[in-house]
Amino acid sequence: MIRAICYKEWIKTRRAFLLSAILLAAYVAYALAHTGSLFRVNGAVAAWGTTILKETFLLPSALRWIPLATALVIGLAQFVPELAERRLKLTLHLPLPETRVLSIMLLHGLALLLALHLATTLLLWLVLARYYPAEILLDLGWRALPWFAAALPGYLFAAWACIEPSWIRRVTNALAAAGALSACYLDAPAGSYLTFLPCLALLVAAAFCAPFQAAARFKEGIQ
Amino acid sequence: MEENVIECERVTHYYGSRLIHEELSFEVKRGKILGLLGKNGTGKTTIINILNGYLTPRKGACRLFGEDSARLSPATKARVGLLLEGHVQHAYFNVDQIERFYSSFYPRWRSDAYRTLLEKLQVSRAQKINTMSRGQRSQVALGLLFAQDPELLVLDDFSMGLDPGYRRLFAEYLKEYAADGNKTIFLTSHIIQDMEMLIDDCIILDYGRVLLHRPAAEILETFRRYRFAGPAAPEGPDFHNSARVGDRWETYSFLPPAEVARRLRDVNARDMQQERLSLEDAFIGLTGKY
Repeated sequence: MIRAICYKEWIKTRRAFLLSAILLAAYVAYALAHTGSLFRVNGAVAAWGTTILKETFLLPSALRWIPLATALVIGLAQFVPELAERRLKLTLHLPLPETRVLSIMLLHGLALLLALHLATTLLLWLVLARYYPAEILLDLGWRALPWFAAALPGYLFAAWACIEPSWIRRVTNALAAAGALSACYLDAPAGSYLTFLPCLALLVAAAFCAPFQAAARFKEGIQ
Repeated sequence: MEENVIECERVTHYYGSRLIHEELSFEVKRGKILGLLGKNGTGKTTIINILNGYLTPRKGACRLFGEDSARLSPATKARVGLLLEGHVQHAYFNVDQIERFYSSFYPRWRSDAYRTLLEKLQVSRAQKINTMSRGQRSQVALGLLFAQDPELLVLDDFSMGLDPGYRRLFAEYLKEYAADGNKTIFLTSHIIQDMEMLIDDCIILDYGRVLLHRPAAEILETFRRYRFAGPAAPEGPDFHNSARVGDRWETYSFLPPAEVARRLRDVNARDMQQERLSLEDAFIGLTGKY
């Protein structure tokens, strides 16, 4: 039964997954071209110096938003069809505990995101390792971590907003989610998010619970 | 003793301040086909939603197989086949994929029932459900329900959007399905003539209340329309929707014709004609045209 639910979720999300994979692959290719041209034009010393002394982010800035964008694409692809014509009724009518059904659906989406983002991180590391030492790459990782981390609650909040049956609450949920996620987009030096990690874990845990609250409201018939 | 598959007890529900049901109680016994009739807005879908646990009534409760419908166990859900209004299904699947999905959940899955029904459709097994016509989608939904082999079918407006051929096909399949005697069907439809060939019992809803709950055969046998000439129509709860039509009156009643004739004589009526009614006419007679 778990496999059957994952199969259903895969049928819904496979195009979004492919689109996200293409987007991330395009970013990696762009990042490679960008770094290559930086080294060709300015030379390695200038490129390293700028990164170390001025703490300039060495990748194209689109990386801030791409993980969250992929999370939203996958979340919407997965949950908008459930809400169209209120198909969630069919899903929740399956002979399994409702919390288990919803948990499997959410874990499926999170697994897709983790697969995409870990693959992207690995690719970026392999590509950039040709140009920068591990210390600089670790610094880059700490800076990019909150943006990748934001994708997880971002996906869960997208599910929350979709499942919520009332339009007014849906909008307020989306605004609350945007407020919570903005904490991941503060301009801060590398490493400053280290102390934020427990809060981030709490945010993910809260975001995981949110779709269940919306599903309970859906079940009550709130409109 | 016959088992009650569905029990609704004193269900009261409002949307905002608008009363939909007040103290609604009914039961459906195993093996019966019950049709829920009512004009638009009388709360047919509301009852279906309460029965399936997708709406919590303000007061009262419904039970399926003895379980509170708001908290159905997975085992009970496996015994209930649900058709949503508009034959909604997971339309992103194709014909084969959706069977593969559902068959994992139901150990008694009858693939032959699904495939036999789909053979009548001009669709390939790789065709996506969202590219099908409404009629074709209805057959996919029906095939999935039959393959699931549930003890109780809950069908919300099964004839919605279907042409006469598909409506008839749907009704015939349901009749055949129910013929095994152990299946219970609870359904609503706007097309009452489809119900006539199908249902055993009938509940007619008015705004906020049950107008009637009787066997369909009894309604067809005893409820009649009377037309007569005269100065006025008889009054009282035994006469329904009396109205002047042209230069004559018409009224509806469950009373025996001899009793109606006697009452009409009391109001100086003459030239009485009585008519047997179809279920649709009976519905109009009880609820009025408007």
